[in-house]
Amino acid sequence: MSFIEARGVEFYYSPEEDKVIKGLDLKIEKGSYVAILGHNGCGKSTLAKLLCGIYEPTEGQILVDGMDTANEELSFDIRKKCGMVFQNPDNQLVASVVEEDVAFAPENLGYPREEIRRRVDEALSTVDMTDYSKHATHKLSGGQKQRIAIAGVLAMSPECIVFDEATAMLDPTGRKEIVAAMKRLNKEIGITVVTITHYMNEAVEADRIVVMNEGEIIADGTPKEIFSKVEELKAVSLAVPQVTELLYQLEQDGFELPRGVLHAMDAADVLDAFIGGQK
Amino acid sequence: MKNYALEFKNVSVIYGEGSPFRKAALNNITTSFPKGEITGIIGHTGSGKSTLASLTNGLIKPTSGEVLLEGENIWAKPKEMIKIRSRVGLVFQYPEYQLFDETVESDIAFGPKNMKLSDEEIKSRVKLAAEFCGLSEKELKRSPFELSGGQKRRAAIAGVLAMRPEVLVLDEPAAGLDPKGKEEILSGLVEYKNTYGATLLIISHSMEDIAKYADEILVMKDGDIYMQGGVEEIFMQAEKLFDARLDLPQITKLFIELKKRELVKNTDVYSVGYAKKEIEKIINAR
Repeated sequence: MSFIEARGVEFYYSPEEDKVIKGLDLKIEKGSYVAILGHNGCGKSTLAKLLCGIYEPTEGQILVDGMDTANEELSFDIRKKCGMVFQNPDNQLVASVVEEDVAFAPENLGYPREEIRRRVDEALSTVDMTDYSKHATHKLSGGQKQRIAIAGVLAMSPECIVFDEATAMLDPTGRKEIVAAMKRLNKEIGITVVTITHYMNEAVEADRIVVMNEGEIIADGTPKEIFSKVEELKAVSLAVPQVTELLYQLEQDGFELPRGVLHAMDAADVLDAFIGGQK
Repeated sequence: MKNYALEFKNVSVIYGEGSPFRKAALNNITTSFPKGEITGIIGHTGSGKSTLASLTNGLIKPTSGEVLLEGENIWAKPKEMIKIRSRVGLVFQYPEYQLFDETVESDIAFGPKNMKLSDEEIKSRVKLAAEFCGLSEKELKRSPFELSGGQKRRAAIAGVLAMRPEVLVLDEPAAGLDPKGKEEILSGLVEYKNTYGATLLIISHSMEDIAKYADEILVMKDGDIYMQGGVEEIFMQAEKLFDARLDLPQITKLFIELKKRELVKNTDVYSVGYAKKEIEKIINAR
């Protein structure tokens, strides 16, 4: 059984409007790192909220660790298992001091004092923000605020975290910090990571990419497989990383180069070998 | 000599002066923005980019120093600030949160109406602004709240373009948009600039977009101007950019690596199209 299972999910915000999600099936395995891509308005954010049980499917079913998200009695258990980090760093912090913000969830869950302390310290250390525990939240940079938001979710000891464009408002360093945090959560602690992003360079870090279009999944595979399909991605308003695009265009001009090369270093190796072979 | 649409002379902005929370957002900066060109503004969060944007049309007053529009201090006649605001258009981050009217058309018309233009003129400006932003006739008749995120963004930017500002300042106009939406909005802005000879200031965290669209780059760091110059000149200084919490376009990183391996001579490559030409030159030379 997969950690999250969506079975024939349909969703609309009101019966008069078009369906946002149309008969979607998706399985997310425990401990996996999945990126979800799609153009604006394709239903990605709606899907993210469905996966965490913030929305209930209109039709079909979503199971989080075997629990049906439509069952209201389970909603607290589901939220504990599956947390979410949103786009804007400025509207998801609730306290004025870093450690108080991180303590918010465990306090509400009614844990004893020592347990709260332990969880807050551990969460802050995981996102590398221990030194800032007594700092004012409003004075942090965007990347630091997002890391505190992640720590706030971590303090609930979730098994899965869904990031809904969590890097969209950050500067390049802030983006790197968050992507590094996602990787660490996934590889070192084994947390299931689902990330929605418009940055193709971030999606390549995932183990699996799911591409959505008009409420449906149109492609699902490894970054290498997905970014090999340049025309298909462009047809749904998406793009590929710059180096992937470069090799693709050279291939179109008749040079025999591999597809799905994602990083600058790998592209350098490929071009090095290719140009060397032309001698 | 270049003509400058907008100049900053020794401008400082200090928040909470005289209180224990005193913070200098801008430290005595002097800079100018060439007329009819696009200046890309990059810098880490909190580097002063948005404060700089708010100064351009008098939303905030410098603590000291002067902001000049076509050589004139915009604060010389504070009562006439409203005129400055129609000459310098400011598009904030996530401008779609500021849509308010019943239809997209009347929302876009709000600015020109306040400029007391004739109905005919307002109509033609709304139509043109909508065209630059890629909004159809059908969308003009709809409520802005029924539109998708990308369309809302277009409507909000069109509202500023309809005032036909000579200087247009945009704070992250493409943040959160998918690649195609981003491309359409940014090329619409370039078209506006070319049509009216306008001067554009675009704030962005995307090095790829800045490399593609800007003529000149201004790099901010901790309330200071850290670097300013042509796109090549700035992206050549990778280490300095990394120190300012910034980055390089991925394609430039590839060329830096290729140069290390002595496969290419130049690293001033910022777009995929140019990169392709360079690589093909090398392959054909073999």
